[in-house]
Parts: sequence; structure tokens; C-alpha cells
Amino acid sequence: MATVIRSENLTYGYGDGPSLVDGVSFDLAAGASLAVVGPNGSGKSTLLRLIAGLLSPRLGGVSIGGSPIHTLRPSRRAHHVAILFQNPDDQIFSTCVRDELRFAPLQAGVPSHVIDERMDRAAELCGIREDLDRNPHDLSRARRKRVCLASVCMMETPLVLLDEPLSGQDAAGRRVMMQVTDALRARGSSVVAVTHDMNLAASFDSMLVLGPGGGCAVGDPRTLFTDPSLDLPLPDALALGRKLGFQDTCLTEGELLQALSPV
Amino acid sequence: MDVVRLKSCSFTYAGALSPSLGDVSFFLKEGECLAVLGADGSGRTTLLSLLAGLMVRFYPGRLTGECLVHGGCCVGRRPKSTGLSLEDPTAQFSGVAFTVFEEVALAFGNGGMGRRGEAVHRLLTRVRAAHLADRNPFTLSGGEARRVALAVLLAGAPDLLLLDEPFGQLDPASRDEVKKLLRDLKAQGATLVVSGSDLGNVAGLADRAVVLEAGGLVYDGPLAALPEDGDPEGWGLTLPLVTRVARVARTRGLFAGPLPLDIDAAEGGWRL
Repeated sequence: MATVIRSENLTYGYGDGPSLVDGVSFDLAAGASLAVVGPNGSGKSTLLRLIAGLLSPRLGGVSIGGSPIHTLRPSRRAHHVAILFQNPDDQIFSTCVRDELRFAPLQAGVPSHVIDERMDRAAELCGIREDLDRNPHDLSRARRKRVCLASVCMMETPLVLLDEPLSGQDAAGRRVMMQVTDALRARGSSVVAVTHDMNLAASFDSMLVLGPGGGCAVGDPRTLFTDPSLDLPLPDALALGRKLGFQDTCLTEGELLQALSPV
Repeated sequence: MDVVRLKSCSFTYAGALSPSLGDVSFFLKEGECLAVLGADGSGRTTLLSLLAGLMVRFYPGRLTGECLVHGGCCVGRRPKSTGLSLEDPTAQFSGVAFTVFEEVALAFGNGGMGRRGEAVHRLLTRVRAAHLADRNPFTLSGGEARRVALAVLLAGAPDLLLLDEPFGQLDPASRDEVKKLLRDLKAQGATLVVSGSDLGNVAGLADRAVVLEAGGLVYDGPLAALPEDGDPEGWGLTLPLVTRVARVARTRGLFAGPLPLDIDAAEGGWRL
């Protein structure tokens, strides 16, 4: 599939400080997914903001469909990329969920009837239909994060960035997040998600590992998780599979259950 | 002595149509670690806020029933030696400290600056945040902020800790470290209340669990027995992968014994 997003030698540091993101390069095809993992403070959220064009890189850059993202005006950028922040309270400012969802597409010039159609789909997908007329600040934090996710879906951008989508979500919230990721990809959007959940990372097409020193590794999850030099935290299925003597064949729950079938 | 005694507590937020807590009763002994589990919106944070004395002065509403912490009524006043950590760690920062060091020092209150400085460093080392001492608290990553917020909480040396989702935003290694820190506190006699919806996060830490569903108490018993005696998935909780796999394996005759909550607890149960 054609490459849609290309990051080349992306490098950034805050102020005069050392580079926090150092020479990150990757390609992403339409509908493909990339998980960004690494310890706390390794620059994952900073990387996401760089990809979103919210920060200007010291060196290198990210291009989407051939245009360098950080040079686009915000109104143009909004057609290419949407981001879910880690903290929903960094994102929400309306006093009604419906207005919150309407805001961004309205600024981007999406016709009103199209906004209504999109809202219908996004609210259904994110399971917040009954919250549309409520004040988002009366909702729980996990629920507010779903509202933000719906806002992200409203823009129907070719690139979607998710910062810790599963953090604070209960079982139902996790299901919603997975459904949304699947739906976005089925629609042809590429998804980049920062996560501490190795089970989620294992289900993605590719993975980017940020180290504490700004270094990085890119590859498919199976290769990276089984690379002893990276010493990554393991997905539960891989850890349990090793314990049960299946070596490194099981990356997901499905694979593990298959391996457990009595022959 | 019971550190917490709740008898038929109900709470309805001002302006809300239905109660967020309905007829909740349980006791908590000194030195126990209790997991307060429930799906999103089940009343976990409301329960923790109640125990922290935030009802009804900070959060107006209608409260009925009896709620005692350290033997005193905790309605409208903050119970002594009780610390609450919020789900959003940055919401806990004072906003007046330029550095992480100052933020934690503020929490220590008055005292000789020299001695206090040592205490701050000791505490930051304990939560593995010593390298963050000179940073602006509001430029920390989510997981770093979580650790600093924990240091702020511990500065008050509370003997009852109310922790609302303390593992959110932590990387797996930090999660294990914070869990170990909480286990150490428990071993030193602290009483812990830890909220969440993922049984894997509280396994190996909590002895007992209460489960809330739509504000009502639906389970009060040993955490280890919850997968067998309760309906965790029906209540919207997340079971660890090892529990789900062991359950399927047991139906295939490949696992024997009670359902485990972590890989170590499953040891000896596999029949492969």
C-alpha cells in the first residue's frame, strides 16, 4: 500500500535542552497502525505532538501526502490529522457534548448536515449517544475521554493520533477504543497510538520503541518483543506462553488459546 | 479497631436525579488493603471522596447513613491522617511551586529547611523521582506526575491512603514499582484503599475487594475469590489474561484449581 505518512530523522528537544526525540524515522501506509511504546518520560507524547504538527522539529520532519505537516496552517492541518490527548481536560471546553463534537468540523467548514451525520456515527461508535445533551464536565474522566475520541472521529482525517487511549478505561471503554481503532482503519485512516498496554501494542501492525536516551527502534511487534537487546515489557500472552513452554509463538490471547487446544 | 465504618451510606450529588452511592455498608480494619472495584460511573470516586471528607461541603448533595473514619464522622470535615490521591495527578499540584522539589517540600509544611530538604530527597528517591527534582511540575509526563503526586501524598505521612486509580499512565516497570511501594507501606501498617476496574492491577496488593455496580455494593469478600464467587465481567471489570486463559484451559482439562489472578498464582495448576 502507498505510504501516506513519512517521518524522516524527526528530532526535537524542549528549549535549549537535549534532544528528547532523536532521529525518529518511519513510514505508515493508509489504514496501517503503529504503536509507540517506551518508559515514562521517554518522549512518546512529544513525538505525537510533533506528528500532529503542534511542535516544530529541530531537524527532519513529518510529511502527510507529501506536505510537511508543521508548515501547514492549523485550518489545513485539521483536514489531515486529529489527535486525542492523554488528558481529556486538555481537550474539552464546551459545556455540552453536542457542541464539543460540532466545534472542530464547523471551524473546518464542514456543512451542517454532514456534521449531523458524522455526529450520529461517532456517538454510536464511541457509545456516548445518551450523553450528547449533557455537560462533559459532569461525566467521569473515562467518559470524557470517549467524548474526545468522538471529537477526533468527527474530523474523518487520514491520520489519527491517540495518546494512551486505554488509560483509565474500564472493560466497556476498552472495547469501545478497540472498535474505534478498527473502524478508523477500515475507513482507511492510519492510526498512531501511544500506549503502556503491551497487549494493545501487540495487536498493532508495527511498533516504535522509544528509549530513555532518545534512541528508537521500529519493526513488527513480534520481532521487537522477542529482541532481548530491547528488553521490553512483554504482552501478557507472550509472558504466559513462555511460562507454559510455547516459546515465542503466542503474541495474543487468541494465539495462546489456539496453542492450548488439545490435539 | 476499624479504620472505616460505613453503614447504609447513600449519596446523591446536588442536581442529580439518582444516587451515586446507594445503601453501601462495609468495615475496613487497620492494616488492610481494600480494592474498590467497579466499572466507569459505578461510584468508586464518589466513595473515595466521601471517605476523604469531601461530602457535602466540597461536593454538595444529600447524604444519609453513617460514615466513620478513625472513629470520627467524616462528613463535612477531613479525617485526620488520611490522604487522597486523585485520578488526574496534576490536579493535585499546588500551582505555586516552580520545581518538583518545592512542590513536595510544600507538602511537608513548616520545619527546618535543612531537615526538610533531606526528607524531600528521601521521599523523591522512594518514588523513583529524584531525577525530576528540578523540573517544573507541570511539564512532567503523565507517569512522572503520578509518581510526584504520590510523594506529595506520602509527605503528610497518612495512615489511611485513598488512591483513585493509582496505576493510570504508568509504564509497566513503574506500575510494578508503585505496587511494591504500596506493599511496603502496607507492611509498615498503613491502611490502603485502591480503586480501579482491572483486577490485574490490584492482584498481589489487595487482600479484600468490594465491587460497586451503579452505586450499590454487589461483592464484599477476598479478592482472590472474586473470579469464582462473583461476576467480574458482568460488573464491567477487566480480568487479567491469565485468568481468562486458565478459565478456558480448565474446561479443556488443561488447568486445575481456582482461577488465578496472576501468573505466579497459576503455578502448579497447569496440566500440559
